[in-house]
Amino acid sequence: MSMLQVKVWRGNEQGEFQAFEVPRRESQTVLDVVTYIQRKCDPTLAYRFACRVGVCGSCAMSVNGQSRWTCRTHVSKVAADGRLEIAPLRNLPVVRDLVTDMREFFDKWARARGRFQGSKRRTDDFARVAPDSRERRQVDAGIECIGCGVCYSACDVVTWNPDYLGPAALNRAWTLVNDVRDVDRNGRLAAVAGDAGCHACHTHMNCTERCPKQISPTVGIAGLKRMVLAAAVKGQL
Amino acid sequence: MQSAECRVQIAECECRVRFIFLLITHHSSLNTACERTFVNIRSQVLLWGAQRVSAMVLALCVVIHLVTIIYAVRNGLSAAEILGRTRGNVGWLAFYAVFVAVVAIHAPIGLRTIVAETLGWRSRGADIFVLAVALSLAIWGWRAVWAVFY
Repeated sequence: MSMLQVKVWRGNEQGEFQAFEVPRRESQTVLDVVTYIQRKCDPTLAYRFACRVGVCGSCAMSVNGQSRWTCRTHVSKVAADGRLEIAPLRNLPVVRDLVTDMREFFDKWARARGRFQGSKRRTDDFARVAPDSRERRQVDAGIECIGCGVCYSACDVVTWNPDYLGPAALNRAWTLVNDVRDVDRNGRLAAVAGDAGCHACHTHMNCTERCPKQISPTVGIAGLKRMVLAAAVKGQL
Repeated sequence: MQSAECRVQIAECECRVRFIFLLITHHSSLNTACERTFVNIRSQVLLWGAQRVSAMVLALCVVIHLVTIIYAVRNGLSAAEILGRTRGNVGWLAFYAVFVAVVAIHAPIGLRTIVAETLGWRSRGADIFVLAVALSLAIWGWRAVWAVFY
């Protein structure tokens, strides 16, 4: 049986990689590897997962230097030479081993006003949104985000500017400013404007490259930049 | 050999310099995020817009400038011959005045981001620094433009 040479981060902000040998199996995912280590080699290994099928977004880690969802990442795709280096996500405080503190990530969704603000009551009639309208198609392009934090971890601007809202929060804001039912458009544009908002993005497109759901936060951020600039010129911010 | 009085004066002077340096570099840690800078949110957005528009103008200016340089070098124009063409020429004056203006707008806005991201300098001191760079570029640039016109 062939073996995988796996290095796993142990500790919190300070720590080191620990080496393990894991049996190579067919259709093996990176999450399978981490689970094998915890169950067979070292039960003290801390990591986070829930659904195992790419829905919950809780198992994201850094695999051979790139942020990925580990439950849907096959070993054959990332470890052709039989070596894996698994670390916690970048740009987030490490709680222990492979578990990061996601509070800042989700707090930024709140700062970007990522909550739908409607005006209708439950007694009102349904809002009718044409599926082929421009706004609806732009919402469709970004709405499948699972909040895994891969884009946030891959973003260099977050590293350089810790106040930066990050791709996921801005993508969420983009879907809401395109939601014709939402009534807090200008408030949201003000929340995502400026040095810590969409205008900090350098269009490196790491988020777009790494998003496991094939969303392009970069497109949404570019749209927000234009929309916010137009609002600023009109004095609406 | 320095006198005791002289050493005291030097020490006081060093203290003042350190205090001013600390005020400039640590100003950001004394304030909340929105108070760190002179530039409010709307102005930050307008600065971003100004940098994009100035980049478009710069792209055109740089092409014209490069073509002009290549023409001058390949035709072996002397400094006197170049000055003969620029002196009194309002067209070149206007072109290079615009060129300097967009450089003075574009470069400091980018520098503001660079010092924030690479040095973590996000205080009012940083804004004053890039404003000083903008004014320096504009004044020295226009001075040079005037020198080849007048």
